Amino acid sequence: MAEAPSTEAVAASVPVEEAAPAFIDVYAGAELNNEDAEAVTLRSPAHLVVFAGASESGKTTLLASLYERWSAGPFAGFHFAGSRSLLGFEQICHLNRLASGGAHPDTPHTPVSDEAAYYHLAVRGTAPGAERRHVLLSAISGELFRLAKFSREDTERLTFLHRANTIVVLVDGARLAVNEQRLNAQTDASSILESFLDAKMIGSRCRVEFVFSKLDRVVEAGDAAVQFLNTTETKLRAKFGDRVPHLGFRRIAARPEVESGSLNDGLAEAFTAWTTPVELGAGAASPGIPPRDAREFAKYGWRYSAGRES
Amino acid sequence: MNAAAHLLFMGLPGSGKTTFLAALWHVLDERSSETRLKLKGLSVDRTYLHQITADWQKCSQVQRTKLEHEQVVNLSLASGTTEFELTVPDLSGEGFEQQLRDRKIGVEHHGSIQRATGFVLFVHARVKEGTRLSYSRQLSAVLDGASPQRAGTDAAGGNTQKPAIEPWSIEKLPTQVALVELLQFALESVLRKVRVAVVISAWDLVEKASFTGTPHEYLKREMPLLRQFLDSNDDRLEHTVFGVSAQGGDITVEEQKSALLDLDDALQRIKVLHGSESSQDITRPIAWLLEER
Repeated sequence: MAEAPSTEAVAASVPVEEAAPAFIDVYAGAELNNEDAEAVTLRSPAHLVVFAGASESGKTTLLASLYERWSAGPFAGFHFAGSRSLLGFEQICHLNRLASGGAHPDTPHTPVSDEAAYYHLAVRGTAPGAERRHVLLSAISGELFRLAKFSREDTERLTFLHRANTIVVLVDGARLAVNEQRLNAQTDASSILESFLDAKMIGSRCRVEFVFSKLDRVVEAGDAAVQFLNTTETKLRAKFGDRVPHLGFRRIAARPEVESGSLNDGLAEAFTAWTTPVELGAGAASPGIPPRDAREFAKYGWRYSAGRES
Repeated sequence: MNAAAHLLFMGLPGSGKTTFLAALWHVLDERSSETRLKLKGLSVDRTYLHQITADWQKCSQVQRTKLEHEQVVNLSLASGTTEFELTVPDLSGEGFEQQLRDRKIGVEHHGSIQRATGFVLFVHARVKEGTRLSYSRQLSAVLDGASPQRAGTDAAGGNTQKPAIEPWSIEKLPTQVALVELLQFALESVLRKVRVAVVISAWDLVEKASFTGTPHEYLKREMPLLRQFLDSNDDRLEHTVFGVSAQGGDITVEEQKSALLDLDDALQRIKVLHGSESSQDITRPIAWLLEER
């Protein structure tokens, strides 16, 4: 007769049931990484706007200001319809909140990271029956830009730029207003776009805008500063006009020291332009094919824009 | 015909969920008033309802739901000839706060969201606003008639010390942002279109502040982000806004509490505003969620 199995043996042979999870995870709500951004674009087509600029040129302030406008009401002809990165937006707005204990509006610097960070917004036109529009906003950190500015190899790490529908290059108005710094500010902005072009990051369907930020500072500095801004625009147009098919210029005071009517004008029009697909002419060139090693999110952008416009 | 109706009460701590439930039970239990919904049968376990209603009847602060206990209230209600078996889980406000902080939803509560045909979203009339510094400086400049200084300088142009900055934390979320996030969590879990009744509680405070508009207009003024979210997601949710005063006044002020206790009919404490229509029928938000359209 076979021996009865020991209690331990019986216990060991009984399949252990995995405990059912007590909680279900929800999305993190902070700024998105490449994987999260791809998840957004897989759900719905999304328009990617990338802000590039030297450190403290106003990239994050611009991002935060857009969100702040919707926090106060419909903006640029759109209602706020949702966001996967509400906490991320709230964090970059914190230093412009009374709750921060600060005395003056401020913005945290774009975090130094090897990877791009994205902020998601869903908006819907205020007209009845308008479609929902998804927008991903990304700021290239000053550090990432610094590396990219001097090295084509580092620029190529910014593969997500292939996906960009709009690239906004910021020209720091605060530095344009200071004689010792104004040429540097001009060169910084120019060399960013030069690096991107050199690495063939700008597709034929991509809108590129030079945005003169902190316009209030330029205006306050007087006529000479305004004149230098005008000259900078002329120079940049002459340098890039033939090489960038959809080049534009804009002046913005996204968050002047004190909110007032006239200087705020421009952000609504800017948002509308940045999130409107470029109209292609009959003879437009086909979009460049992304490199084989491009990350999946960058390839998605190419697939999406190629498919949509074919 | 008996139909099963699952509603979900949502809201941050102190938003008035339990006070509403206490006043609702008092009204239904009295069976005397002109309410849209009538009580047809009793909940199996009424201990919780009796406990919170006893507080409400005494004009005492209604004991809030404890974090660890999601109370589920079952009621048999009728609206005209239609009968409903209504299930309302009453999760504590801290539970919703925990969802925002930990980015997790309890499996049981997730099930309640999935079953829900409608949400009652509670928000206290006194909201955490998230005022912008740039805006407050503009106001100060207008009020003082002085031009504001740049960061780091005083009126004489000298350097000033930087104030200590409080780090960001989830507790600093403006009310409207927290509520949009909670609604986003819920909408992720439901596949069908849902109804959302927004209840602005402590409406007596709004009227005391001389606001004469409708609850919709109040929402637009005080929580524009939430209002836009509700409007622009009309393909996923249908919403309306009620102003509800379930206590009738500020029970922490002795004079007001005493005046409320003097009322012969406690129902007179209740005020419900929907559009410009005012009533004492606290079942209206629930009736709106249940009515056939």
